[in-house]
Amino acid sequence: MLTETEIKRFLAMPGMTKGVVFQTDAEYIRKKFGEAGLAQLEARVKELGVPIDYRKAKAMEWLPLGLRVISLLAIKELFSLSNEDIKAMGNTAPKLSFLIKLLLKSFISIRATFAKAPEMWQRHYSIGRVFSDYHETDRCVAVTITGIELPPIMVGYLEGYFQRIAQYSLGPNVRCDRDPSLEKGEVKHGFRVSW
Amino acid sequence: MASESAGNNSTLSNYQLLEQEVFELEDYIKDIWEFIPVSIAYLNPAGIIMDVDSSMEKFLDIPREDLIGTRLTEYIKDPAIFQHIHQETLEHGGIQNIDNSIKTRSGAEIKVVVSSAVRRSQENEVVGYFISFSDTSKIKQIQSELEKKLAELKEFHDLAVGRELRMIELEKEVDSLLAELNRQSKYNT
Repeated sequence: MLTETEIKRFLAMPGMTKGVVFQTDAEYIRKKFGEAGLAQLEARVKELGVPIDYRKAKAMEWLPLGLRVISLLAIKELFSLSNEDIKAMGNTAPKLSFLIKLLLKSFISIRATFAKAPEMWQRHYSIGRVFSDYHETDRCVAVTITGIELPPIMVGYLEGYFQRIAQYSLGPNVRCDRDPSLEKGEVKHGFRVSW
Repeated sequence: MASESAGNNSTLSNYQLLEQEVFELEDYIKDIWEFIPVSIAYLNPAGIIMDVDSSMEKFLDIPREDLIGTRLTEYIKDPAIFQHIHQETLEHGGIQNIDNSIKTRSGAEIKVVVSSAVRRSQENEVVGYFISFSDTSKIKQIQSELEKKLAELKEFHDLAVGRELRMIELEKEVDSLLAELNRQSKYNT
């Protein structure tokens, strides 16, 4: 259960995120648990004393990154979601994202899509950097994040998110998993997208 | 959560004004995308659905999140028609108002007018295309009913006119017989 100390810790996290993540959270909950589910989430967030307004969030406004983590944890706890469910939630998010509409022009091939990964990250987060390394013969892309340590719930969410971004070019048969072998030196998080 | 300074335009910086305009643009795009009464999808050059409007969800009776990431051909019973549209669009930049029939997965056959238009990158490379289906089944139904009524009216008209001509012939015959009998004409035909 989310404690006051944890909330304070997350709110003190450096960096900002775009309001679109709260829109996609709200839309996912509405589709999965109905309007009543969203009302439950709003009540829980209010109870935690966290200023997230799921209905008024604007896709392109900058908000504290800590709110993004708290939103995911509140959702996981409230609806008893598993880690796989969080990954599935991340996988659905690009489909519901207004911000992704602006990037659709890049999704013409897997190589072109992941070449835009650094820009995609910058459009969503003010902190950290993303790099991608495309391996045609191995049929995979290594995606690495530097400059920020993310809580495990966000790592799981991003697994699903990167998987969907690849699926836009390749169709459903794509995997994306955390790859600890990439997490060396400056790299805080590593993912391998394979098909 | 939106810009708190949005209430007083006179004190907004250029950045805040720009931000406010972006938020308003977002609302405008969302409202239009929800309102358009024509089913629209955006596909990448591989034919994968990247985005759909609300009308397309209703048209195919499948939620947006299930449609995105799949191929339109999965929901159409005659993929050959769609394949032709796909090729035409990529090769010629789009198609305009082509009459077609789409058989949905549920088996319903819907008469539609199909249009499409490619999107290009700044380097003029085709990066995807919009495709729209305008449901004309109701208009076609009304047109068919009107054509049926018109045929019935024509038949009635022919019958009525034919009867009138026959009456005139009979009157002439009566007058002719009366003349043979040296009697006065009855109809003065």
